Amino acid sequence: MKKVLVFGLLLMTLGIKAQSLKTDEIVLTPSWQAQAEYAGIYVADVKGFYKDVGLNVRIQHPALSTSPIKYLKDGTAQVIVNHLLGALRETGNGFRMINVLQMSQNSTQVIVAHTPISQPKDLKGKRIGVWNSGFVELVYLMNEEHHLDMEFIPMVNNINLFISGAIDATIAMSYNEYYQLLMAGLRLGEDQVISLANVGYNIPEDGLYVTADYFRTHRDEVERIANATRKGWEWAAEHPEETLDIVMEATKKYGVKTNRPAQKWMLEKFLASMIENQEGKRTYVLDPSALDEANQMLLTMKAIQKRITYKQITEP
Amino acid sequence: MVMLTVFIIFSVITYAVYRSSRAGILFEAMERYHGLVERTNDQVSNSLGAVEVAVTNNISNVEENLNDPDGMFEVVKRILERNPNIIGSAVAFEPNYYPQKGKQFSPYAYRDGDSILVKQLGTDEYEYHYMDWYQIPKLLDKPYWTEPYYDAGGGEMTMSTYSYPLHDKEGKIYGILTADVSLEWLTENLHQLDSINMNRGIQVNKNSTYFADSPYSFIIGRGATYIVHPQHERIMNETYFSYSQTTPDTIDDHVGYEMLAGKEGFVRFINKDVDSYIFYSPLHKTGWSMGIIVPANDLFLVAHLIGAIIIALMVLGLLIVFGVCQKVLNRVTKPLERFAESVNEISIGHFDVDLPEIKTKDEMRKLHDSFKLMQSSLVSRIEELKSVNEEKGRIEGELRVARAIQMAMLPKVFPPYPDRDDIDIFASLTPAKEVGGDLYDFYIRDEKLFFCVGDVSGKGVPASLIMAISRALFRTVSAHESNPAKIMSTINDVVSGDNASNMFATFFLGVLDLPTGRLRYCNAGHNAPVAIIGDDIHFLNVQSNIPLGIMTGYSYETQTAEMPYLSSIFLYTDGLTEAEDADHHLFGEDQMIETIQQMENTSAKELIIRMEQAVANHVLGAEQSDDLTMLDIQYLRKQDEVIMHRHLVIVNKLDEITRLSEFVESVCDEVAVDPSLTMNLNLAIEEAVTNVILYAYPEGMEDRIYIEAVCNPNPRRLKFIISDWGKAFDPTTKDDVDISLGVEDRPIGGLGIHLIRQIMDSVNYERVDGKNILTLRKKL
Repeated sequence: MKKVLVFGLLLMTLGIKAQSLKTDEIVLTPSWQAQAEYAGIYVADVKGFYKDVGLNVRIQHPALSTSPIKYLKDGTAQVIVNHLLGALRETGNGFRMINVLQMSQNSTQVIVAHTPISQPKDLKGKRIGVWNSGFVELVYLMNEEHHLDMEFIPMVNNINLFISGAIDATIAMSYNEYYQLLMAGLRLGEDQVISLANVGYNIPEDGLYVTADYFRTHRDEVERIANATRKGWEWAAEHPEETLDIVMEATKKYGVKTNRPAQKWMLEKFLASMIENQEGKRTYVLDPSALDEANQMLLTMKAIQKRITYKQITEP
Repeated sequence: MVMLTVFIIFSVITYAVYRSSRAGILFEAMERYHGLVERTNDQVSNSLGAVEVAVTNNISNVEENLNDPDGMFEVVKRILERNPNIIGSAVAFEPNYYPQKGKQFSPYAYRDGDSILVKQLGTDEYEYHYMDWYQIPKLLDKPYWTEPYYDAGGGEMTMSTYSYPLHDKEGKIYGILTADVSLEWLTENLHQLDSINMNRGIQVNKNSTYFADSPYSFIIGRGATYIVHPQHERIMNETYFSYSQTTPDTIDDHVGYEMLAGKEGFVRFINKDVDSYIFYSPLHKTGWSMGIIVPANDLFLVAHLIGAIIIALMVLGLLIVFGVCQKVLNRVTKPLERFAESVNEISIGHFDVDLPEIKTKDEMRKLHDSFKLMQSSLVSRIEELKSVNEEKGRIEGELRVARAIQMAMLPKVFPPYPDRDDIDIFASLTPAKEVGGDLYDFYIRDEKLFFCVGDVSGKGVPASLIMAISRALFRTVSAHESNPAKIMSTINDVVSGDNASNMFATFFLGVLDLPTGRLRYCNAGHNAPVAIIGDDIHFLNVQSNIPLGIMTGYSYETQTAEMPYLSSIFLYTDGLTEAEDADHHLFGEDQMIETIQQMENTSAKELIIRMEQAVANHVLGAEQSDDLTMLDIQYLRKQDEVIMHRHLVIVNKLDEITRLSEFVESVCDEVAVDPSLTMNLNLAIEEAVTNVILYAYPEGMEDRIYIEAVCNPNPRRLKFIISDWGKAFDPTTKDDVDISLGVEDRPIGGLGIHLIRQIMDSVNYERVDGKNILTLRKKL
């Protein structure tokens, strides 16, 4: 087990060094391991949308326990996929990230527990699994606002913690871990699941980010990569089966253990989360009101000192 | 029927045996799979147990070397050296346990071929504190077997890690000691067991994409992930539910939940469209569950085989039974077939065909004898029939002759008197059989038309004989007698006098005085004729009387009627009025009268033809049941014009003769008759009147004699009518005199009538209202 991972890391390190020599190469790092959440990116890559606009984009997935922001910070990646809240917090803390494409328009996070949790207060004092790689700001906020005193157990990638009974509850993406839990044979009742969007924490998630510096110096490339990615998503929405083929190829290529029904579920759920509620379609634009809400939450959590403006997060 | 019963019994037995063998096989299969799971359990327990022992045995080594972090590499290396089945081992410490070693420190030993290598596991990219094998036992605070995982980069093996939490003296966890074990042997073992235990020669293909039609086993982990499965790409990639939840069938989902719950069971379900059974049972210690899926077809292969053998035996048995039955039936039916052939031969006329030989003395023998009898009876019957037919043919021939003769008796040339303009006659007779009992006849004598219509009771030859006699008598008697009643009585006496066969005949007899149109007639039980006088159509007034042949000496009476110019009398037999159609409705008198009414100025022939058509329309082809005879007589004579009409009345005394002579001479003189004819006329009338004076009255009785003289101009003719009131006497019926006899020897009047006939053209006698009327005519 460890041997292969070490071997993989070794390769990866070598790769980074080799590739950094190529001046025109752009590294795009998704927020996690290969899966349908990034279908639009794989499609843009495989169908040549990036190449078509003269870009040499290389997709590099992050280590499982590592946040992609780290890759942006150390220059390993020029473009990353990240949640809005994480990007705002980093920006508030001085590392300016620019949103160049907003895929997600809704929160897809749910909390699943072994015992009934019809409302947030039922989670009081529970031992809850959260991703070590981040994206869990909403759970922290809910913990604060509802004074839940939950014990957070950072975890990496899978659901074994929850199944083994080592934790009472776990955070899950409705398009990913939630499905895995079902497939693991858990018969989850409605009262065992809380959708964060339903309890007042509906904040958009995945967006495409670059550093402010990179934006300033590579504005043209950034726009092209954003447009090509958008094109990839539109194609994916129209060709779900072929997109799944591409996703499955990617999971194989990056050594991810999964299966087609799981990725199909994910693609459908993720595409659904991309629909903007008011407009009823995919806008790819950060909704200002969603930004306001996110600011409010982060201020409440004291994760930022002052509001991040729309201009701050979308322009260099 | 017998075959069907045998078949049903066989089928029931087969089914029962099949069902019971099936139940036995199911039970046996459950036992077998139970054993298989037990064996697997033992192997897993032994293998994992050894690892657990190895780990716990080395805890003390770790504790002893806690002060020497780098010595930990030796500890884990030794674990591998001493335990060949352990492929990797780590001792992982809590973050910053050794501050000099940084946040992560985890010495790790692993195998590379035959050598054992060591390294430090924790890196920025592999933060082991968040790995299952570390985190779960730490959180649970107890030893833990990880969910198996597939090592794609290294040995292409399924592995699991045993993690043991290490506690310090305060009971706080400071690290986790692990040992990795390959589960590849499990997969291999199960594949081999699959092949051996399922009694199938088929090796389950590791990479087969289709596997559900063969028996196979699989193991799932606590998260339903496939640990062992014939389809390798499923292992670690898919869970039990990623397929089962896509099927509409919920049994497979239920099985999955039962397996996760650590239960044991045996269920039938549809696996990938294959009707299958699944046996499932938990693997102890691990929380995993093992399932064995066998397609029903495989499971019941033996049952099917037994079923097939039984069915084959049954079919064989049936064939034998059928063959035996066939043989027996053949022995019975073969002669029957030959009999059938013989009968077919007989049916086409070969009466002398040989019957099959029967040697047995059973029912077949009886049948043979019956056939033999039938054959000989047939031959003799046919001979009989032949002679009967010949006889019948002969009789038919004779009947045809008889009919010809009978028809020849009747006047059948029409018109019968082409030179006469005062009478039109037509008749028809249609017998119901070859010969009939109806008759008609007519002839003219002394300006009188004698005619008759008769109907003898019954039909055919006997009736025709009576008819012939009656007709002959009519001719014979009427040759000398003009009185219908007398003729009728004479015929009746003859016919009834010797009537052994009790047959009788209705008869209508008429005498029409052609010059005057006076009709005298007599009826013997016959239908009343129809008188047609212009528009006046009525039945002639007739006395019914009794038919001929019933009573000797019956006294018939003559009736009289006048037939005016252009009148007609229509005679018929009951064959007309009683002609029946298919529904037995009679033609009837009304319809007959109606038919006549529709005619106007028709000839006798036309009347009868149209009547025949009316009858034909009525019966519409129904068989004629009775002879049908019709006779129509039309009287066409106009009363002559008179240029001279005188009369003389004398008394019955001979001395009145002188007055008579003077009267005759003056009449002749008046119409200019030449003297010689005058003399002859005088002679004839004198003779006639003398006869009356001498013989008509009894001695001494005085009476008048009335003499009328009429002269018609066209043709010029002289007529003398002598009427007297004496006894009835018809001189015309007397035979001509035998002039060879002497005068004294001759009968009375004989010579006189002879003389009169010589002189006059016609002599006509009638008895009307007690008068003798003698009419003498002479053309001038």
